[in-house]
Amino acid sequence: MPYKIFLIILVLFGCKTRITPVAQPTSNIQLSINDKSDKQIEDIISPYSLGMAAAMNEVIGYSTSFVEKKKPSSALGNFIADAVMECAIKEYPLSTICILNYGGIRSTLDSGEITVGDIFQVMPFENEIVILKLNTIYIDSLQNFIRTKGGEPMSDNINSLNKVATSDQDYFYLVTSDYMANGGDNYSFLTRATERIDTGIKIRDALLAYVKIHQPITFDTKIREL
Amino acid sequence: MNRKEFIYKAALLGAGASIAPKALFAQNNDRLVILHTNDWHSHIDPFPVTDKKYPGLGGAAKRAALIKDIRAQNKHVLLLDSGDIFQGTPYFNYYGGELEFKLMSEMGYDYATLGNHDFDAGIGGLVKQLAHARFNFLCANYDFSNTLLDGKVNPYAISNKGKFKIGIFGIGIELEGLVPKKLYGEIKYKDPIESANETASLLKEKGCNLIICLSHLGYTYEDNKVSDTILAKMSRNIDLILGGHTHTFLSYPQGVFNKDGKEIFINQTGWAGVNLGRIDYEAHRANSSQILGFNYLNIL
Repeated sequence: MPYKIFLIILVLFGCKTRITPVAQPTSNIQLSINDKSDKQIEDIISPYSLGMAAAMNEVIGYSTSFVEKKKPSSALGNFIADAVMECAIKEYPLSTICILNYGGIRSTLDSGEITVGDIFQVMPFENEIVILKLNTIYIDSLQNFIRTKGGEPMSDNINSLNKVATSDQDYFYLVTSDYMANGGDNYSFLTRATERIDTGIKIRDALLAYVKIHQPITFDTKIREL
Repeated sequence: MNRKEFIYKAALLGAGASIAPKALFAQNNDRLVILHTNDWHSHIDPFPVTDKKYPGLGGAAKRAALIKDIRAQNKHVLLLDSGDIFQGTPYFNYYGGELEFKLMSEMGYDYATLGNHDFDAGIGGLVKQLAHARFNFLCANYDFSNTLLDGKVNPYAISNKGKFKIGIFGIGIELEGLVPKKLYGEIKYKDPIESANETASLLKEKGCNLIICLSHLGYTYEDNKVSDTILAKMSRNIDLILGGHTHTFLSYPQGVFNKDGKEIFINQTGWAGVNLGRIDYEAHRANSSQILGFNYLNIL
């Protein structure tokens, strides 16, 4: 009977569609060195790449070893904080210590020739150096906060801050980034600084200058902690 | 009979299946391939071959070639990104993200969500580059009222592909304390779990049979900070969370049981375009669901 057949069809097609994931053992596919490259995309990239090649490929220095960021501290973090401190102290000799944020370091730095492009990769942000005059009562907050974060890049260990704490000074001068000075990375207490000096110098420019001055750059691998 | 087919049929026999084999062989129309990236951070060129961590890996042109190959073999492909497209190489410093969006458009990206670094040139900088994007940004937990992004970012989208009606929405990370206020301006952050569940429920009501959350919350944290893992556990109706922010290299999607005790998946592909994530789904009738969950499908 046609009526019956129609009913059966209805039942079959009336079944709900179910969606199930298909297990793939290689779900995240690595794009390896020998994989083929799309010509059309290469052609789009090419003029952009050429437009900045001369500036980016300029060799400005030499590194003795491969360095990467680590907690509580690393040779790369020490280098960056030292470079920023060296720049800041020229502008503002009272600077006590430089503390930056771990998250701000965006790449490793390879051994051998260092190009402008390498420094852009390590520090792509346009962040500028800020010096904050902070009451010494904030030394504890700074220490505790950095401990909870597991460490941050810094130009020195606890010594310079201890010296301030045991002296009769009421203030110390923290060299940092505008990002942190604005309370970024949850450094909200830094917004309570007594005074703020915006140097207008980009952190990246301080790194470029440091690499040019120190030939070759050698790295301090000592652990720096507050 | 080729080897694949042989193993397949052997598996069927082994399972003593009484279900017609035809239902098991996925037609092209019954398969959806989801490809995705996160945190590619302007890494347009592959890493140098001398790089100690990722020698010669990644690169937009290689990613494009792989995507083209997958598209040639599959009728239904969705290409998604979970944010932090911007910032990381001089390409961004020089061109402000223009090339990143052009390349993603050329690769045929469908949707992306916003990461914190996508605000690095401010809302204005992002809006300026949207002219180069032939794909849409989605975010369900940012209120863009009174900003230049108002009306330019939708909370969700629905995409129909064969038997799949896919609901896709975005979830962003809390910007306060992470991004300078002057860059994100008047954007208001809303609770990600509430927003996600509300949006997923709406998409379910609209008849979506696959619901994907593009998240920039981060995979997991040591403290109780909201993450994809927490969102997954607290969620209803979401099938898949494609995450970002923490640059987590997962080898394969991680299963988590949601609020209803259903297993859902989280995936994240690391960063810098080193990996392309791929997750396939199959549509089939409810009465054959058990057998389709069978491991031998891996071989396909």
